[in-house]
Amino acid sequence: MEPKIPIDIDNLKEDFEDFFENSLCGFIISDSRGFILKANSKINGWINDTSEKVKGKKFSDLLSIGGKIYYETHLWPLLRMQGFFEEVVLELRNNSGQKLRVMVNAMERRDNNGNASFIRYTILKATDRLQYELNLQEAKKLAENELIKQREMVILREQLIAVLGHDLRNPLSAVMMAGELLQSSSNKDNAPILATLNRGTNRMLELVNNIMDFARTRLGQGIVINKKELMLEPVLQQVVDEMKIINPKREIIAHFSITEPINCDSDRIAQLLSNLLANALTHGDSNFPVSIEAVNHEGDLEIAVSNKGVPIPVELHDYLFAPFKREVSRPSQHGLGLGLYIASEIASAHNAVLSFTSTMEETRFTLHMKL
Amino acid sequence: MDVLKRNNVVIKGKGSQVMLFAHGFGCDQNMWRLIVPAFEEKYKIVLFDHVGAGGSDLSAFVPGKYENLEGYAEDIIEIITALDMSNIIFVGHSVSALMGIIASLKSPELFKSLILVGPSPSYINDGEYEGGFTKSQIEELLESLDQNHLGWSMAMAPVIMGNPDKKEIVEELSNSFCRTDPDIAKHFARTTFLTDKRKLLPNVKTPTLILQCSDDVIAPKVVGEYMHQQIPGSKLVFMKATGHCPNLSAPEETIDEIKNFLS
Repeated sequence: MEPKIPIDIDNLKEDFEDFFENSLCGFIISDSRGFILKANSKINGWINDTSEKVKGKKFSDLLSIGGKIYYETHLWPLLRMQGFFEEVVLELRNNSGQKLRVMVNAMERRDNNGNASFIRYTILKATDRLQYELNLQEAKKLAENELIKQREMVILREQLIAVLGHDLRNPLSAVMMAGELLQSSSNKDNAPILATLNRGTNRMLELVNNIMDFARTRLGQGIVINKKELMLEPVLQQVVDEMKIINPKREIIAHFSITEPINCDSDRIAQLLSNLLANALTHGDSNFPVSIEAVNHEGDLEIAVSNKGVPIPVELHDYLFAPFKREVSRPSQHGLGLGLYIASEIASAHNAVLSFTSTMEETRFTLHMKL
Repeated sequence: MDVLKRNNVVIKGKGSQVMLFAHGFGCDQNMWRLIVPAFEEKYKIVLFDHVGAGGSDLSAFVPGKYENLEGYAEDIIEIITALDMSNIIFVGHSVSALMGIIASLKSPELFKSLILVGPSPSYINDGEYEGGFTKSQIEELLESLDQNHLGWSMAMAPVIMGNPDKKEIVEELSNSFCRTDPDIAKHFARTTFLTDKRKLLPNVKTPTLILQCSDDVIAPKVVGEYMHQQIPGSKLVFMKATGHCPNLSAPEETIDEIKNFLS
């Protein structure tokens, strides 16, 4: 069938009345106070009313109660002050009380003195768009609630870790004490077994302490330090000695030259050194010694622990001091990966910097503290 | 805390007698832009934004404090006190009229007179009392606020951003008028429309003018008449101005009525 072409196409002229009346959006013209002078068929269709009835009503009378108050308190003042408003979501209410979500633009036409002559409203149906918006809002609310729930869970878990760590320490001390008692009373044949027991419990204590420190920092309490001036060398030496006892097959070369008392939390510095040494002994090449140097000069203190062996993979460099990192390249041999995290936290608590270099030659961790 | 910064207080005018203008629910101190110039010659003018509106310090918005109008009234007293003023003429629009009444009962020495534009002590019909809204209408309003069906947010930012050309105009507009944080707007609406301060009215001692518009859906004529009956010695003026904001729709008439009352 041939398409129908209007025969007299030249005479099909746009005329304003037709445009106003037959459009896909609603048009309303009101006087300066908002009383409707004219509304098109779209509006009347939405309101279920005849043109006559809509005429003479106030624009805000077509709205749901929320929209009405919103209009009177926000939109109308805005029209007066700004001359227009755009993209405002409102609800039209039809004769039977049902609501239709619409998007409204309006402008005030003013005379030469700036007084309002009349107001034009353009109204578009927006149910689908607003449904989409409501869904987005709903999704946002759900996501926010979920986030809050997850945060609470995380805090609970960290509290659990803290409590667990704390509670594990007591039975562990009992075991360690029993070990020491056995050492003094037992016969020589048991010595290797007791040494193993001693190594194991010491390592457990270290792990438990790290876990507790970790939980504390995560719970926002941070590492608490208690500074005192003291000679640091004996403290460091004791850490080295303990490490030697626990790792009898390894060589640890210590070089100390600290000439003045250092203001620090010595227990925490000992813990830091212990973590660094444990790290070096675990990851370093066991055919080579681990070195520790501690020197002070011109108001600086430096404690450095170095070892030979495979360098730290570059992809780990950024996360080295983060908690719970796991080695991807090598199977994890040791611990939770909290040692370096705690060490760096202790360093920051002292306003000190813990840094590292890692090459084929050596891997070296250095604590740098301004005195 | 700096009260003047918190409430974005603006002081102007050449006189010594103080007039303090309080904007109502919706928008900010700009609501007085057509009224204030008429009084600048003879009076000292104090304008401010309620916390949560306009250029106020949003971080000062504490939901608990602003759960009732007393919290807002406290701010008004704090502003007057911070400026070391007293015996002021208070001009309050809409819900701020009630804040003025509460503040005047708390610190009568600060207030010389109350000029209340479109006031209402309670918006909900209650037995004999006609507030203009049924309980279910207000419930519907609060529900629509909760569900954020409307752009109450004054996601006004986009509205104002819609300004076509000049960038500086966008800047100016977006920094003023009806900009409100959506949550604060909801909260303020709740506080406003659930208010019932009818009991306070007979206690008012400060000379009071009530400006009642015709055809105001927020504060109908009967409410103005009720206020007038309840506030001893008050003066009631029915204005030709329609709607809820004569300060914007009929500034001349509003100015004339205020001047009449003050002279």
